[in-house]
Amino acid sequence: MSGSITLTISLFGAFRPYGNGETMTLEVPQGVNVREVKNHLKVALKKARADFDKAALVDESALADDTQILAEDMTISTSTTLAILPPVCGG
Amino acid sequence: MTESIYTGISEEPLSIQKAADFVDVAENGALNMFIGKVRNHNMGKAVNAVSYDVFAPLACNVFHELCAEAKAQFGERLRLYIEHYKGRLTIGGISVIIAVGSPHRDESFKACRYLIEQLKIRAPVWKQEHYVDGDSEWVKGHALCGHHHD
Repeated sequence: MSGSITLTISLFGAFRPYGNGETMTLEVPQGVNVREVKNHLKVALKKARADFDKAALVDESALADDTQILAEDMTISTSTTLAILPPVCGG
Repeated sequence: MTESIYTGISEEPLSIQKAADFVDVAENGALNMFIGKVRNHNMGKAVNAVSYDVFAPLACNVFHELCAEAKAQFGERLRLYIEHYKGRLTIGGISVIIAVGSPHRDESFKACRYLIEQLKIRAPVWKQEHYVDGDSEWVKGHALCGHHHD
């Protein structure tokens, strides 16, 4: 394990009211897995807004890149942009 | 053969005619369409608008996957169109259009139903209902899950 990486997390749906409404930036250890990123995100959201009450929604949500949903045990080694996707309801 | 699949996310009003024109070719005897619209009520509350949020790049990727699955199940000769709206719509506004052109009716019905049902549980789209009483709420949905890719 070495240094840290920067993840830019795009916010959608019920997460839009948090951060700047578009993204949040996280500093996380290199090699972190998706489940751990979600835990870091919960902390960052709470820090950004003291009234943040959607920790359970983060747990229910998926992380994705532009092409696929990421498995919970997938590790992330480089700085990148990801998206937090709450349960979907299109149509 | 021209491209037989169209997928898109639009912040402009969706066009039923554009969808029909895309899937309607001389080889096809059937054209099936699903049009999703904003209704004025949900779960006992009066609704006056819905805002749609979409993760566009992944949504288009999912739409393409769904179309490939529909072709594999119901026939390679299908012509398929999926377009979803992004932004705020008032009552009666069109949120999604799915159109299927096929040689015969059976596969067009089946493919159209397959596409809308899968879209609702797999596409990264969210809706926020705006109620007549001034309140707004994000609609609860279906959790997405990923699979490990080596």
